[in-house]
Amino acid sequence: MPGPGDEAGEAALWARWRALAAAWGAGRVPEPDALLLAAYAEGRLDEAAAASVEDWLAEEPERIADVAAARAAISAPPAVAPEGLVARAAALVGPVDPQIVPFRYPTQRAAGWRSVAAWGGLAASILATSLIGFALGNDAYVTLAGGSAGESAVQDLFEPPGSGILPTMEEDSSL
Amino acid sequence: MADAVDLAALVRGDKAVWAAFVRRYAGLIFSAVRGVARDPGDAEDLAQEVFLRLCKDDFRLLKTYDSTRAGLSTWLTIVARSTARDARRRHQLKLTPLDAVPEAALSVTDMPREQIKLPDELLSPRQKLVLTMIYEKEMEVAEIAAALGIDPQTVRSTHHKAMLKLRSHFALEDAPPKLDRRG
Repeated sequence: MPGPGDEAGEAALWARWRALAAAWGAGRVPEPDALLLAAYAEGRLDEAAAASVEDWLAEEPERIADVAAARAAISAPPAVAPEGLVARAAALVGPVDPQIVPFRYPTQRAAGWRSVAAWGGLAASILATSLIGFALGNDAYVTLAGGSAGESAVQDLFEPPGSGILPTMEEDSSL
Repeated sequence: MADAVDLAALVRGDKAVWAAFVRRYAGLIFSAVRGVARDPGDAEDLAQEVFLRLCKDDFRLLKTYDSTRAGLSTWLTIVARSTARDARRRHQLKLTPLDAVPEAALSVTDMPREQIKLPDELLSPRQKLVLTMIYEKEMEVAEIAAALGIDPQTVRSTHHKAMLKLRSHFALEDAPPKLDRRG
């Protein structure tokens, strides 16, 4: 370790190297994922993988504390969490206990069938509106064209003219 | 801490398994985020953020855990601190008005650049990390050794070799050019 005399000089050398590395754009190492960092903290990585993590840690010094904490957690006795935290965290999954309100609810997993029902209902109402609109429009056309009231579109939809199920106006008057 | 959790049942959303998981790891997560939090109340909120992140999107994050690569406690500690730091950063971004940011931090003037080529392999990643810990994080040798899981003597020798390389490199760079006296 540096003595009191040369400590400042060594720190200045390191700062100079740092500035140079930053100026040349060195140190753009991709961030390792949590599993890789955890494996590094446990000393499970081979030399090349560990070197890549250390390269990144040198660029992200604030993350060194994460590795130190993870390494300490391996042998540390279990800590005690506040009861309120345990209750609220437990309430994040499954049926909601009315006595416990988590800060936020997780994403609803059963939202799928609701979506299908909503879209189905929308499609059915569009179809019904179209049919009624078509029938009313056709009725108006028949009325304006001087047709008889009996030849309504609603009737046409279910019993087309000439099907013989209902009597026509002529047949009706002859009765 | 021994890691014995039925992960398959956990990611299926089994409430009893989730409750057991929370009871078992709440202390670990709470203690992991305490180092990032401002106060105990903040630590509780951050720990809740961690649990929320673990179960959200149908346990997407928990499903990425692989017990063959790292222990659950180690992984959870890393995830907890990373989540807490992100949450704190988001919170700070929301609360920091532009007027509070020093003008120097907003300036885009170029830093003076030394016209010296930096050798790619001058320092090894381990040497860079040790020097970062000593000069930027101001950590003691024992702390560095504990954080890296190496012997304190290894930390000292790594530092010593790195400094020799830096001195030699910059001595060469700073040396005045030799004059050609021929002819």
